[in-house]
Amino acid sequence: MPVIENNAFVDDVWSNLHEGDSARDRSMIIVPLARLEEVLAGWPEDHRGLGVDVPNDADIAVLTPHLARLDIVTLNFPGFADGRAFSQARSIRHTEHFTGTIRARGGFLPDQYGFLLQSGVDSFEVSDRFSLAEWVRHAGSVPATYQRDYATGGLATRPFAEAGSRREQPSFG
Amino acid sequence: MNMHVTPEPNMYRYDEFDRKFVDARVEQFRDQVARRLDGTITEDEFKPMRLMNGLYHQLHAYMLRVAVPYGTMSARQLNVLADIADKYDRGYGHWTTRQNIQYNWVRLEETADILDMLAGVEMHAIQTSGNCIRNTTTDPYAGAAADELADPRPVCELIRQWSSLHPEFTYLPRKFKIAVTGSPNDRAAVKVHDIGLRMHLNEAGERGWEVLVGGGQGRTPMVAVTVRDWLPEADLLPYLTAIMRVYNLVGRRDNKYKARIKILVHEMGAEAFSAAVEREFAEASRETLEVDARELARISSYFAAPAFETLPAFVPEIEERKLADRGFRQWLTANTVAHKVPGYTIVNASFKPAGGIPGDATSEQMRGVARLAERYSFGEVRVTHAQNLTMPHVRTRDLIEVWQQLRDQGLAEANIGLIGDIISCPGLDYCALATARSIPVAQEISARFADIRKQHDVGPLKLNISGCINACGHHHVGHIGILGVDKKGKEFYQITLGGSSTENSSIGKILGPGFGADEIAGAIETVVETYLNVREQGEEFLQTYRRLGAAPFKEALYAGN
Repeated sequence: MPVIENNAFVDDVWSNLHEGDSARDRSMIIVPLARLEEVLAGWPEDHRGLGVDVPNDADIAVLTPHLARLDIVTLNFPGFADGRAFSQARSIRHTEHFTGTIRARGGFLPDQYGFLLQSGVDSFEVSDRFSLAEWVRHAGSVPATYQRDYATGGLATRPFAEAGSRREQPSFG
Repeated sequence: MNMHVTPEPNMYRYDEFDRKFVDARVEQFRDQVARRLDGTITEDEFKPMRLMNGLYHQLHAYMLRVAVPYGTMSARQLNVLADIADKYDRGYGHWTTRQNIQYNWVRLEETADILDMLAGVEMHAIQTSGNCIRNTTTDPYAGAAADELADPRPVCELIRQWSSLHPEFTYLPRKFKIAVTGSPNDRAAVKVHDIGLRMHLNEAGERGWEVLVGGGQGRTPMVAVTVRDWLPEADLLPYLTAIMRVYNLVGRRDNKYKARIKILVHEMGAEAFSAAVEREFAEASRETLEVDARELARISSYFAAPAFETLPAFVPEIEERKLADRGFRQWLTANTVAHKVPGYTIVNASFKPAGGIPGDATSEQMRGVARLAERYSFGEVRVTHAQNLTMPHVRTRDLIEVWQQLRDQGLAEANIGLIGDIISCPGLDYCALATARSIPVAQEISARFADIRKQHDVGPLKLNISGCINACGHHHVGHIGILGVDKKGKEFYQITLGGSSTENSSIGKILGPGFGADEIAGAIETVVETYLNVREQGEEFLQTYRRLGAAPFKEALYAGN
């Protein structure tokens, strides 16, 4: 499936470890959360190239001890109206300070692209139903946000009038 | 004609940033409508998008619900609401129980143009529906009531901004309603909201908030539990964020009817829920605390008290008229409320004419109230939960003129808080969810109690009617509640007694078997007659019910059956 990062299609370097597959001698794999501890047990400490796929009803607290060894976390949208992954992304990125890739998968819509970016998602597994341009234009369809600590990608936040000079408002685009 | 300058009330005003935000949201919605019409997105995908902008599809047409943030608006805004009623509806608007207005006859293609008109006067329909954080509601007498600690509206506006297009909390398990009160006498029904906030002052005079969670009506009515007795005001947004995150992550999504936060609080237990919130709160971002405080100070500056004059509290001509004119006396008793500034009075305009449709307003009535507000109330108007309008700051000495002018517009029925002041949902006449009609029942009861003397004799009595178990007509918290249900293709009406949405909140109890559409108004008369027979001196309906329980009412309604 096409993957969007930084508003462009990128090659997907990751593959999914399916049920029954062995992780031995593999790299750049995303393993189901249920198998994370087992795979990590056999994974060399200094080895990179491991990711985890997190169901949207999982408590992300179980990830906390392992995040430093992971390069990607994938979050799931069974349908676009199920917004649990927004909070999972925010917690992983903001509360746990995860610096790797957070990828969204499933049935989210271009209209949610901006909110996903703001919640900490930076990689998008998408179908070919919508064009890249369609996704990208939604990043800034409302180019202003009231939530300062969620503002990303040049979204405007309210400037404060400071000692006679208004701070320059960043423009989107 | 003289140049007329509309007074602008002291309320929140958009700056360049707010304007940019709302304009962009209108354009985004216009684009969403266009993509629906050209088939780029499906109806299933479009539905939550239009709902998040207040657009419902009802039985006969689209309905647009416009936000009146915490019920406060200017005369200028009210005039535009009237213009929209004329241009895009059939000359009507309808005040809702959450201090908003809805238009029942709009067209999808014209919605974005309506939103443009609204944006022109700093209004919108953002999050008036959908599974997101809805319009924050408050005391309709905020900033005016004699009994309030402080004006709660700056905090309401802070919450409005924080909750608007929140990237994390816009696809919640279910809708989410927050109510705020700055008065110990709760007129905002905070105990039957998803989150209720009650202001308290400590000994140092600092403001803090009691946080209640998990109240609500609908199919499973519940009174909220207090999860924090005292939250410092500075921690308000991080704490709300913590509640929302717990709810978004673990609130049920398997069953629409179990998805409200009240079910989560109930199933987890208040203590476990509260502990989860506290854990989240402990880790919450503190990086915006300082700007939140500055933002609240900035917002508060918009809500400065109007330029009140120093006036005598006692106005002889009002007292004389009161003695001489029963109609005026009744109106004064029921429709006006004590103001915190001597010489001023809070005035309610009743949109509950005898036999009328509760909360329906013609464009002419809207313009009429706007004119009165400009002249007599610093240009300020409120929408109430009971589907009426309020002019918060009227000089007591102007009351006779205001009363006469309201009477000319059919808005001076002296029934606020009495049995004629019925709250009703639109019911089966408009709503796709309804199982029974509620408006005709309200009209019939209202007509039977048309005698204002009788209403005043009966005294304070809240009668609320819902046309289905979703309880939009708030029947659970009516002193008398009526719930319309469908029984084998026939409308039946259940009576509940003893509900209340105040600080002593309670959920009404079902009295017994329901009544047919042709029997319900008579049954309500029997309930009221029974109360009149058994009440003690000075006892209000709810007090009598709480003292005696359901027995005398059951006896009167069902004995011999």
